[in-house]
Amino acid sequence: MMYDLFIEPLQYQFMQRALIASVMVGVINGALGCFIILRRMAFIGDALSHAVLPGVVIAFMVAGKGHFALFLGAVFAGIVTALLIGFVNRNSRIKEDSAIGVIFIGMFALGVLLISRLRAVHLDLQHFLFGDPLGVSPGDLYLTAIIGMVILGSIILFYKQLQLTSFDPTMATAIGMNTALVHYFLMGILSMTIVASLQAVGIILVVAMLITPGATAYLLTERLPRMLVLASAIGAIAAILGLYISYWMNYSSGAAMVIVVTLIFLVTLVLAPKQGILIKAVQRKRAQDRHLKDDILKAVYHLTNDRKDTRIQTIADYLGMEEQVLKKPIKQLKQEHYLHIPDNGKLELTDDGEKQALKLIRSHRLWETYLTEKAGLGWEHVDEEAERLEHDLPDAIVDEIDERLGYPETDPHGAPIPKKDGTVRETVDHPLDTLQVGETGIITRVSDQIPEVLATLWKAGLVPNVQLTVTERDNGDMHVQVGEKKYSLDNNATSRVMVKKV
Amino acid sequence: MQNAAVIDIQNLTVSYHRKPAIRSINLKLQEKGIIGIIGPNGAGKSTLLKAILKLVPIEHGTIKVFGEPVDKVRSKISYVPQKEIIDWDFPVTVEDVVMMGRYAHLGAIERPSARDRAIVDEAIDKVSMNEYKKQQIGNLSGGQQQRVFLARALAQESEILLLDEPFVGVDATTEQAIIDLMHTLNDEGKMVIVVNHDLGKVQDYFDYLVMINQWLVAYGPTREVFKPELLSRTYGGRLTILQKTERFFGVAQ
Repeated sequence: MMYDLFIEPLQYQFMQRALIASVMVGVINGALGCFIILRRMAFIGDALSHAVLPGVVIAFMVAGKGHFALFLGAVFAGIVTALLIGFVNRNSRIKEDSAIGVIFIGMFALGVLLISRLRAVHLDLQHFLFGDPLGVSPGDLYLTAIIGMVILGSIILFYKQLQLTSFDPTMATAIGMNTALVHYFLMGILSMTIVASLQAVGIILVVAMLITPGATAYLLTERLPRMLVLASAIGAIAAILGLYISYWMNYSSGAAMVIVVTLIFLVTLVLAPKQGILIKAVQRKRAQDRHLKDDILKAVYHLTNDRKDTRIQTIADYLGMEEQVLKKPIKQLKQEHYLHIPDNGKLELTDDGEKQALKLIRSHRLWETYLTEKAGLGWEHVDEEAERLEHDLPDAIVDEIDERLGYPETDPHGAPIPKKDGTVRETVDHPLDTLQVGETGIITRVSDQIPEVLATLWKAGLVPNVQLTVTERDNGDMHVQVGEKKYSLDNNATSRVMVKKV
Repeated sequence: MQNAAVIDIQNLTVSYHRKPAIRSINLKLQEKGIIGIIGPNGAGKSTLLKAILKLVPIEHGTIKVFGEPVDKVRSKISYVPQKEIIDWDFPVTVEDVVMMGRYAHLGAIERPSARDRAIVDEAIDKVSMNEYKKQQIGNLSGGQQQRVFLARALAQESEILLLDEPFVGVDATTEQAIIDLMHTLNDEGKMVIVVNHDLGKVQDYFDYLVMINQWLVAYGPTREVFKPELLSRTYGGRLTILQKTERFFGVAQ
């Protein structure tokens, strides 16, 4: 089976040559492509691959189908293009990307124009545009091998220059490297690579063989030498598979190679161990689960503290979520010994659970205090911010914030901040709606769950340490008096303002 | 150390697209001590640093370093760029970056030797980044990243260090580490020149100040030139100067 599929075609010399040429093209493009990607030159790579066409055609017109002439013509056209782009860029207000766009399409059109005049002599445009690996001659093979050696040799010999000018051109210039020379040198070997690839993949598709293997490798490694090796390997594999697919199924070989390499890229994009979309989604889901569990622990803590019911339904209401969503995390929290569920169904925190809840509350309230005091954010905005960060702030940072704020006792809403050792000042406050008509209380804190309520209270001056007296109760609504002013509060507000009875 | 000016700048003008960034600056830097370059945004602080290395097109004037044109002494000058210009996703490790400092001394196709690697290890050790050697640079904190670039400058074993805003976005520990290192290098006889934006600690950090606002406003020992009058000439109306006991605090807006 394997023999039939892969070895049998190799009895034909043209297939042997095609295979060797394709592998070389895959390797050269893969390696060189890494630098093209890191220097953000993908567009110029595409441009150059199109722009060599007139050079190739003119060389053909002058010298016939001599390989070396075609090669020279292409390199010449490539360098002219690179210089022209640089010239336009430097001498006008046209930026580089537009300059590339103008020049390369112009050059490509010139090539197409020349070919259309040459129809009579059977220079097949198709072969230039889409490649024809099965037509590789021994001469083509030598040329490709020589170009390959020059390019790989240059990458090995001038690795330092290529690496540093790509990474930090300023330092490269500072220590005396000629960055412009490196740039034009790269343009030169890029033109050569394109010529070498003409037969295998053609002008239109070569940029995929140049960019995609490197882009794939970039998702898999954080080291440049490994990226070079991986990209070469991916390029070679794609070239081989593409060639066989085209042999057996009679597809265009260049297109088959590009489809294979694109598929390899897409699979890597999804499955890569560090950069992959899948692993990132899993990490995100895990973080979400953890945050939800944190929120449940906090809810149980707050409800217990306010002497309210802690059945799962109440917690769901408190968090504004469906009961169903909470079942699994609560079960896990029980298994992890953070929660204890007695027969009455009321959730209780274990010691570990309380510790974790206090840690979160500490992080949340310190961060809120920091944002209000140091960053000058409005009272009503900070809760949301703190909610996002409380789960992920490392302990060391929380402690540092604590220190910088001078170990505050309460947050801006008046709620006590748990200490580093897990102790928290007892609160003797109750929701405002527990006060009867005629009773007086001092606001100790305002629950921060609903920003709109918080903002309204803040604007009205109903903030911690203000003394108020209840003058009237009407179902959930209450009328209170502060000094001379009277306020009417609905049950949204009265259940969230905490007071200490006087 | 040297009698000849280490860096001798004469009548320097640098323009970007015909808009001058630095105008006719004359400056001889030769003192032993840490030199700060201060001035408002757009005053040409970074440009002055880059001009010393001919990283920007010089319109007029000459710059000599150790009495020679800069091209002859490039390996003796190390440069720590601003953090923003670096691509932190680039596939290089801490070790790789620090090794770049050695490139200044290597021939075109020469490979790093065991000695180069030893120097790199030592430089990494000096900035306490040993455990991060194999880390890709994007995985580091802002302070750690700055230290890596400092180690790269150390590995270059240069005579002159040029640092562009090294304190931006770094933690207090790193800031102290940078200061300590600057002092050590200075004691070893190396010249350290720092572009700095924040005026708050100028008096603690720098022995000499170059104050520029396109033109050179003043150059001299910090205690002589860090004065309200010169500061307001440097910063124009954009500076509020607060006097607090014996010290001056400048607040740039």
